[in-house]
Amino acid sequence: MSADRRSVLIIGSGVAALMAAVALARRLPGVEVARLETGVTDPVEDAFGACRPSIRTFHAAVGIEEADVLSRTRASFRLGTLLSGWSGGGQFFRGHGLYGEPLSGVAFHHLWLRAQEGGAVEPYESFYLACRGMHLDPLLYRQALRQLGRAAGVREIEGAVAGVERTEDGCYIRTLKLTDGRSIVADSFVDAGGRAATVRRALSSQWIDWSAALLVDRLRLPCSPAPALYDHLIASPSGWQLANAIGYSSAFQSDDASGTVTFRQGRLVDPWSGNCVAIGGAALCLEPSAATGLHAVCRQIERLIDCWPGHDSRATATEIGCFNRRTALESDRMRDFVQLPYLLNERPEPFWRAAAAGAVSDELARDIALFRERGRLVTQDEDGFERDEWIATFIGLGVRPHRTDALAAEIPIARIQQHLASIKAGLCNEI
Amino acid sequence: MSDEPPKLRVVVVGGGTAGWMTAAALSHVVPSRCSVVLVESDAIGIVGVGEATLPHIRAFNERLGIDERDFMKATFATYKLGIEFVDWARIGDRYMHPFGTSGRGAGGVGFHHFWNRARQAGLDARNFGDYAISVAMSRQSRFAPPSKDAGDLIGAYNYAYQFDASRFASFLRRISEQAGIIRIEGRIVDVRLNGESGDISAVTLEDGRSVAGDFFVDASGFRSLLLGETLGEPFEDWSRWLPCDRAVAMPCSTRGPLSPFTSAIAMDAGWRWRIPLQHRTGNGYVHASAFMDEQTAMDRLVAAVEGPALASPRVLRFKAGRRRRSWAHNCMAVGLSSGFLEPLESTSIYLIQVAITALIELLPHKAISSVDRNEFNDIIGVEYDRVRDFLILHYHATQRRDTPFWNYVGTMPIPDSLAERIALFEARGRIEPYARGLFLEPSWLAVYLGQNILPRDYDRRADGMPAAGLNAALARMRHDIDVAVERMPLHADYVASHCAMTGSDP
Repeated sequence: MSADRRSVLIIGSGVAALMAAVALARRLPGVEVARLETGVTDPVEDAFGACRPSIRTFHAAVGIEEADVLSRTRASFRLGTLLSGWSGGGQFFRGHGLYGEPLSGVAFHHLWLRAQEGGAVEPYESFYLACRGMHLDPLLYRQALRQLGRAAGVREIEGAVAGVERTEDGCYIRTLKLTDGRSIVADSFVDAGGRAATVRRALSSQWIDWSAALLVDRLRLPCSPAPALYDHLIASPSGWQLANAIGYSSAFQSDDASGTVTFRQGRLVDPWSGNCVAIGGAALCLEPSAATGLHAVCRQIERLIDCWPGHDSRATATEIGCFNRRTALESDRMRDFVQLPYLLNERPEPFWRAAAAGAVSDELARDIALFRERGRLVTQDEDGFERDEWIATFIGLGVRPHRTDALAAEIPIARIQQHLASIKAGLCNEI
Repeated sequence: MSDEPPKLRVVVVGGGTAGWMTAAALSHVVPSRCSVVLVESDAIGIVGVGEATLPHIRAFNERLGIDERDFMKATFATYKLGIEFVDWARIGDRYMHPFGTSGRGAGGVGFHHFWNRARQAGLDARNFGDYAISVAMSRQSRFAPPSKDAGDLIGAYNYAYQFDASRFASFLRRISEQAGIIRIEGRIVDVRLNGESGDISAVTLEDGRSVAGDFFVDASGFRSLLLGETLGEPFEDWSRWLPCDRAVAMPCSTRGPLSPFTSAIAMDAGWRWRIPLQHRTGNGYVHASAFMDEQTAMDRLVAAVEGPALASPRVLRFKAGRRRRSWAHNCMAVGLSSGFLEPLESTSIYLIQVAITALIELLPHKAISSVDRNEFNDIIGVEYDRVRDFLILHYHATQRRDTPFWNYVGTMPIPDSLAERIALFEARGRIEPYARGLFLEPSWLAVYLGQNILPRDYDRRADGMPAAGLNAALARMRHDIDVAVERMPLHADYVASHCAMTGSDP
C-alpha cells in the first residue's frame, strides 16, 4: 500500500492551520501535506493562548515534547479560570477537570453537598485536583509549529486565495486559484483560514447564527498577555474582560474605541463537504470566555484524523455525515458550556437580564432542570468537557440541588467529612 | 436526623428475577430512604429470563455485598466468557462474541485496522477471534479469573455467569427478607387509581387485602399488569425487525466438557440457546411463529439437544418491543413488563440492572418530579434502542437464504440508525463510539467480523508499521495467548474446586 499517496492542502496561517499541518504530516502515513501561507490570522482565534488539557493530548499524539514546547514558546501550565463578578459579586475557580474522589460509588459533588448538612465545608474549588492545560504565547507557538511542520515535510506555498475550480457536479474542489494566477491541485482541502472560510464556502454551506443565545459580538484586544497559571474572567456591566481582551454586546455598549473586532458566534452546519473540511474559526466561532478555541481545534483535528479517507477512495457520504454529526454535537455542547454562566447569572444590568433570557437548547435546559432538581448531569454521546467542569460551574454559580442524592444520604456525614479531609490532606501533600 | 423525609413506600409487584433484584437492591443500597413490600403469587410461574448474563452482573452482586462463591454455589452457576454463534452468516460458520478485546492496537489505532491490513496484504492474519484470549479459553474449555497485572492482551477479558434463574430469585429473596423486605403472597385482582392524579394508590389481592404505596414497581413480566394493562402505556412493536415471538425451552443432561460460554446456534426459523450450568444444560429454540409452528419447533429442539431431556418442553410467547415510557405516573416497569428483547445477547438481566440503577439514582420523594421521570425514560429508551440495533445486526448480516425465515431477515429493511452504522464500518472499519448504551466497539467488531462484514479499507495510520514487523507482531500475540491459556485449569475443575453447587436439583 504505497502507490496511493494522497495530497492535502491546508489553507491558513493561523494556529489551527499550523496544528493541522503538523498533525496530518506526522500521523497520516502516505499523505502529502502542503499549506498555503496566507499571512493572515484571525484575532478571534489567534490572540488567545489558553488551552485545556486537550492540547497536551495533541502534543503527545504528534510527538511534541512538552518540555520543548514550554521552553521554546515561554508557555506555562494552566489550571483553569477564576470567575469574578458573577451572581452577586461572588468569585470561584473553575478547573479543567476532576474534583475530589468518589466514595462507595457516589460522585464527589454529592458527597460535598451532603457534607453541608453537617456544618461548614471548605469551598468546592478547594477539592480541585489541578488538571493541567497549557497557556501558550500565540505568536511563539505559531512560530514553533511552523518549524515543526517544515521538519515533518509540510510544503509551504505563499499566496492568497482568489477562488476555486470545482468538479462538474459542483461537489468537490479540483484546484485552488491564487491571486497571482497559480493553481494548486490537491485531493483534499482543509480550510483553516478563519471565519471567512473562503474555500469551504465555495461548496454548498450554511451558517447557524447563535447570537440569540450568546450576545457578545465585540472584542477589544488592548495587549497580548503573558502566559498565566489561570485566566481571570471578570463579569462587567455589559460583558466581561480577560487579561488581554474585553468582550461585550454592541446592543448594550457603544463601540467607543478603535481596534474593535466584530464577530458573530455560530457554526457551520456541515464542516465537511465533498473533499473540503473546515476547522477552527472557519467551522466554529465562539467567544474566548471559556477557552474553547484551541480545545475545539484539538478535537476537530483528532476527529479529522480518525475519519481520514482510506487508500483508494473518497470519504463516503456516511463517513462525512458521521464526522459532521459528531462535530455538530460537540460544537453545540461547547456553545452550551459557554452559555451556562450567562443563564445562571443573576446580575441586574440590562445586558445580563437579556443574556439570562437568551435562547436555550433543549439539552441545556434539561441539564439545568436536572441539576437543580438533584445535582445530576446527563451523559452526552459527544461532550468535550469533563462532567466535573459542568458541575463546578453549577456549584460555583450558586446552584444547590433541591434533593440530597439517595446514595449519599446512606453514608454517615462523619464518614463523608473524613473522606473530604483525607482528600484535602492528599492535595496538600502533593503541593 | 429529625428532618429526614418520610420513607418512600415502594410496592414491587412480581417476584421473578426483576422483582427480587429490585427488592434486594433497594433494601441493601438505600434502606433509609424506602420501605419495600413485594407482592407475588406462588400460583404464577416465573419466566426466569436470562440464565446467561453479562459481566455487569458482577458489579450488581458486589454492590449488594454478595460473595461470589456463595452465589455460585446457591445458583448452580458456571462461568461465562462470551457467546458462541454457530451457522449465522453461513451454515458452517462459527465465531465468538467474547467479553473482552481482540489483539493490541497501536498509537490510538484499533487492532482491527492492523488485522485488516494484514489480511488485505496477504499476510498470515488468521481469524480476528484468534487474538482474544477468552476465545482460546473457550475453545479449550478452560477458565481462570483475569488478573489485573497480566498485561493488555492476556488480561483483556471479563466474565459473567450462567445460572439457574429460579435459584437466583430464591437467593435474592432470602437476602432481601433478611434485610427487612416484606413479602406478601397473593394474586392481584385489582389496581386502584387515585381519581384525581391517575396515580396508582393500591393493589387489591384475591383475599380482599389491599397493599397501598407511594411508588409501584411493575415486575409482573410480560403481562405488564400496572404499566401496560392499568396505565395503558403503549407498546412499540419491533417485530418487523425481530420476528421471533416464541421460545420452546427444555433442559437436558450435559455431554462433553463444561463450556465456559453460552451458544446461540442458528436454526431454520430462529436460533437455539445452549447454556451449560453445573447440574444441567439449558436449551431453547427461539423462533418466529410466522415461519414455524410450536410443535415443529419442539420436535426440532428435542432432536437437537445433546443429552437426555430432564423435563418436557415449555412454550414462552412474547413480542419484541418496549413500552414507550418505562415510568409513567408513580409506576416504573422493570424487566419484561417494560420491554422484551430476545435473549440472543443475554441482555435481559442487564436491562433490569440499568432500570434499578436509574431508579436508585432518581429515587423519588413522595411528590414525583417530571424531570426525574423524563430522565429515567430517556436512559431506558436509549439502552433498549441500541441493544435492539445490535440484535438486528445478527439477523441482517447473513448470507443465508436457505429458509423463508433467513431470507426475510437477510433482506428486510432495517432501522436507519443501524444501516448507517453498518455502512460506516464497511467503508473503513470505523465504529462510532457511544457514551451511553451497552455494546461497545469490541462487541460490534466481534459480530461484524464474525458474520463476514469486512471493511473495504482500513485506517491509514495502520500503514505505519512495516509488513514484516506486523506479521511478527501478530504471531507473537497468538503465541502469548497460547502460552497463557495452556496454564489455565479446565473450567469444570475450576468450578468443582471453587464453587461446586450445594444441595441438589429437585
